[in-house]
Amino acid sequence: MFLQINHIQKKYKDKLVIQDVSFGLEAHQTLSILGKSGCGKSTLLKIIAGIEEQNKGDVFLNEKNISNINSNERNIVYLFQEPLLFPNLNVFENIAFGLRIRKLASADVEQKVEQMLESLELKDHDKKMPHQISGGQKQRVAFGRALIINPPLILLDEPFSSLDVETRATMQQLYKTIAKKFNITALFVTHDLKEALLMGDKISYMDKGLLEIFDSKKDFIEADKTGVKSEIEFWNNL
Amino acid sequence: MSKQKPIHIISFLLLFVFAILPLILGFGFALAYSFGLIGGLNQGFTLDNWSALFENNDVVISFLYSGWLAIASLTLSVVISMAIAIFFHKKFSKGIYSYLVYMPLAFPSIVAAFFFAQFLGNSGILSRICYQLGIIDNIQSFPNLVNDQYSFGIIVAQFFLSLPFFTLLYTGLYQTERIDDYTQLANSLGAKNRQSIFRISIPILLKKSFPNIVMYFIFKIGAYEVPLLLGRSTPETVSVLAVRKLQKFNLYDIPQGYAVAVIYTIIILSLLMLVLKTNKNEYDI
Repeated sequence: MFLQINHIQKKYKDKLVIQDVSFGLEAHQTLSILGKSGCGKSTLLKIIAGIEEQNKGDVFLNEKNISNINSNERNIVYLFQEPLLFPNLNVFENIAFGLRIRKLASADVEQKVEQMLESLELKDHDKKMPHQISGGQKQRVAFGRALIINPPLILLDEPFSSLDVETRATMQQLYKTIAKKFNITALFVTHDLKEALLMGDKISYMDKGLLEIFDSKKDFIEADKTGVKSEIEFWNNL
Repeated sequence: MSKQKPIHIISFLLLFVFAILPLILGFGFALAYSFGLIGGLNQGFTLDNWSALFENNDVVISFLYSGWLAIASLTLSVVISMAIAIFFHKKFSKGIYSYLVYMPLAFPSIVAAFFFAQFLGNSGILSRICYQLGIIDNIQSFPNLVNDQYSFGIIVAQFFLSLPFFTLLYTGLYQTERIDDYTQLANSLGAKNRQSIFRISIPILLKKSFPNIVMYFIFKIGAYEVPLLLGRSTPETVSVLAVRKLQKFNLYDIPQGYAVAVIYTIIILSLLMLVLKTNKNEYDI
C-alpha cells in the first residue's frame, strides 16, 4: 500500500477523538472520508500531515514510517477548509511559495508557476492579491500551490464547504480533472454525501473515532449508517 | 436627490463642530500667526518669521531628531512585541501575563519619564545596584544614560511606554489573522519554522499593523514630557522646540513657534494621508 495507517489513536485530555483507525490506500487513488462534524476526520488528516501528534499508531508512506517526522519534511500537503492564501503574497507568489522555499532557480519557478496558472485557468489573475479574487479562484490557487511541489499525498479537509452550489460543482469537476492529470493520491474529507460519492475512487465512513472503508460504492449505498438510503427515500417520497 | 436622514445630518454636524472645526481653526490661527496676520506684536503679512526659522538648521535637526527617536523606540517595540506574539502568544492570551502586560499602559508619560530619570541617572537606582554588586568602582564610572548624547534614556522610556500597546496588538492579530493556521500550512508546504516566520508570520503581522505603526509614530514624534525630562537641551524634539518658542521670554519668537506647529501639522497630515491611501478597504469578492 502507498499509504498505510496502523492503529491510530488520539485523545484530547480525556476525550478519545480517534479510537483505532487502520486502513491502506493505493497510489493515485482518492479515498473519500464521509462523517459528521466532530467525528475525528479532520484530526485524522492532521495526524497524517504531522500537524497533530497521535497517542498511538503509525503512519507509513511508501513503506517508510513517517510517524516521527516533522510536517515540513513529510512532503504531504494538508489543505484547510478555507483556501488560506497567504494575504501578503499575490496569486503568482502564493503558487510559487513551495518552490521558493526549496530555493529553485527563478527561471524554473516562473516556468512552473506559469504552467500551473495555465492549467488552472488563472493566467489573468497572477498579479492579483487574494482579496481581489473570488472564492472558487482562491480554492484553485490553493490547489495550484499544493500541486506545484508534486506531493506524494494531498489531504483535503472539506475544501469546498465554503463555496456556493454552482462553484462547488465546478470545483469538484476541476478536482477530478487535475487528480487524473497529476496522478494525485489523496484523502478527501467531506460531510456531503454526494461529494463523497463523486470524489472518491474508494469511500469510507467515519463515526465516533472509527473508520470503515467500503469495498464498493454499492456497499456504501446499502449501509444504513451512511444515510444514502434515507436520502434516496426522501427524494422518492417528495 | 436622496433625502438625508436627520440622524446623519446631526452626526455630521457633531463631527464637524467637535473634531474638524477646532482643527481647521487651530491650523488657520497658527498659519495666520506665523505670517504675521494676527498677534499682538505682529504688523501685517510677512515672511520674516519663516525665514528667521530657517536661518539655522535647528528646525530641520529637531524634526530629524524627533523622527529618529520615534523610529528607534518604535523599532525596538515592534521587534520585541512581535517576537513575544510569535513565540509566547499562548502565555499572553490568558493568565497572569495577559494582565501584567497592561501595567505599563497605566503609567502616564511624565511618571515614566521621572521613573527612568531616577532609575538610569548617574546616581540613580541602576547605578547604585551596579556599585553594590561591584560592577563599577564609583558613581562617575556609570555611563550617562539620561540626558545623554545618544538619547538612550528617551528611547528606553518610549519603548517601555509603547511595548504593551504593541504586545497587545500583535498577540491579538496573531489570533485574528490565524497565524497558527498559516504557519501549519507553510510547514505542510515544506517550510521550516524560520522560513514560515520570516516569509509568512512577520509580513502578515507587519502588513496588518502598518496603520497602527504609522499612527504611533505620529504620536511619538510629538512626544513632549519624556524628551523634555530625559533629553539634552540640544538637539530638541519638535514639541520641546515649539513650546520653548511659544512660552519663553522673547515674544518675537512666538510666530516661529506657530510656524513649527504648522510644519508639524502638514507632516502629520501627509502621514495620515499615506495611511488612508495604503489602508484602503480590502474586501473579498
